[in-house]
Amino acid sequence: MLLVLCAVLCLWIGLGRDSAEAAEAEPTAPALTLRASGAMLPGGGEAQAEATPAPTPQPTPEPVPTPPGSGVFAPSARPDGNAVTPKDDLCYWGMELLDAGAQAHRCRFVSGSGSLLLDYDYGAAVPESEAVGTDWFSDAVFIGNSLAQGFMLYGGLKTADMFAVQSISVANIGTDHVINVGGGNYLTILDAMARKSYRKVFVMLGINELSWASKETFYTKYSNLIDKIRELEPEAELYLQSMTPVTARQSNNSTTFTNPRIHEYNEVIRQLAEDKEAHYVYVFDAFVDETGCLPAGSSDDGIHPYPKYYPQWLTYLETHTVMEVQR
Amino acid sequence: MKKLIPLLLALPCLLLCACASKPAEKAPVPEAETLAAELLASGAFSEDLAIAEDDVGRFLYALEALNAPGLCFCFSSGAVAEEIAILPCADEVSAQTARDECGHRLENLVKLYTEYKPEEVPKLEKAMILQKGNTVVFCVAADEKKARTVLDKYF
Repeated sequence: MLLVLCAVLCLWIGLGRDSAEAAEAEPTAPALTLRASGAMLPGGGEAQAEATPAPTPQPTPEPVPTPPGSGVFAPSARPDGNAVTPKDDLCYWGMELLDAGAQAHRCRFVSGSGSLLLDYDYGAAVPESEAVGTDWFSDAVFIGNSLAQGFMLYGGLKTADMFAVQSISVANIGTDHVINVGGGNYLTILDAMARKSYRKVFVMLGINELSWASKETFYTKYSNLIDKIRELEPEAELYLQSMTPVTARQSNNSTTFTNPRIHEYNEVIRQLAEDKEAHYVYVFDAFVDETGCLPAGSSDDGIHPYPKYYPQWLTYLETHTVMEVQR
Repeated sequence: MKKLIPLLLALPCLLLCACASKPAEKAPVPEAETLAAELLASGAFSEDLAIAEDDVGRFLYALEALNAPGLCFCFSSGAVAEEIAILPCADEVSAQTARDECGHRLENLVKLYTEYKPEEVPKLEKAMILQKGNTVVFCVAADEKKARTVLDKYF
């Protein structure tokens, strides 16, 4: 009971004050529209709620004291008008508060840790926020190329599904049968992904496309891929990861795999994120040194980081999370 | 006595011949990680391969259900096609499955690298799939001879 009271108080402090003014004009909080589960509540507890209809009211609701000076989010009643219910319902209620708080700020996005991302919109790099745990990725799938495979092998993320193979590009991810399902049978990455419903799809592509003659082709094929992913995973938010840097040596000795060219293609990915309403995750920063390159000595070929560097990628993802809470 | 001398001379020769016809005893296969470490230290690989999590390796080889406790997978950073899988299986059926899937893995890698990085294909053409008892080893090395020198001690 004490824990319940503490959690309610934390929620109230975190959101109730900021939301009160706007909520006066709209006393009933909108229905839950959060599209992803596992968000951290402002009080620090991890919400188990999913985007499901409100549970039916309990016949004998447990009374919860109203904090002094509370506004519309007085915990004697839930935003949906139902009475406050015992602890198992509190997480759901907290998610509604979070959603209502976001709307009060006209905020469309929150981080995975629950903070409001007031200045964020599609097309901007996902900003840094408090780190989430790896459970946040438990409804995620990662798809991509050899770099994504490196992340799969050495990133240390065990909660997500991953389908990644060297040689994969936006052109062949839906056509090349590369995912080994046993007995000499292989699926395309998209077919492998489509066997399950996900809430988050993280894409890492681009390095193999650097040799293409045209960025426009890259844009068009990537755009088509996004449409296809949305068709296969309609419930998922889409996270387009930037390409990672190459070493200065690689960049200086190549006409294809250069950091300036990577920046050009990353700009295409960012533009796609803006145009297609996907999140742009700038993982380039997870590997870059002060000179703007993958550090010397951190890669054999100047492109693929050694295994010990991949956990940096996970750390970056854990601290750059976003979810859309309203459209 | 003169008749015995040829016989006495012939006896060591016969004994030597008998010894030579018997195949040399191979050492018992060490534990997977020990063998992997020996291979990695042999200089057979162009970069430091890293030991991957079992479940990721099993996924890539489609061996999620394989009854093989204590297996070991090593992969490269992605820059090269080199890799090692050491699969000490619990029974003969599992060993056969492991051997088959190693073969499929090799076929797929050749297919992938033929377009992706053709310079890696010769390494794959010299890939080794060896079996002793119920232990199966798959090895793609930059210097196949160095890797074979290690594996020849056990397989």
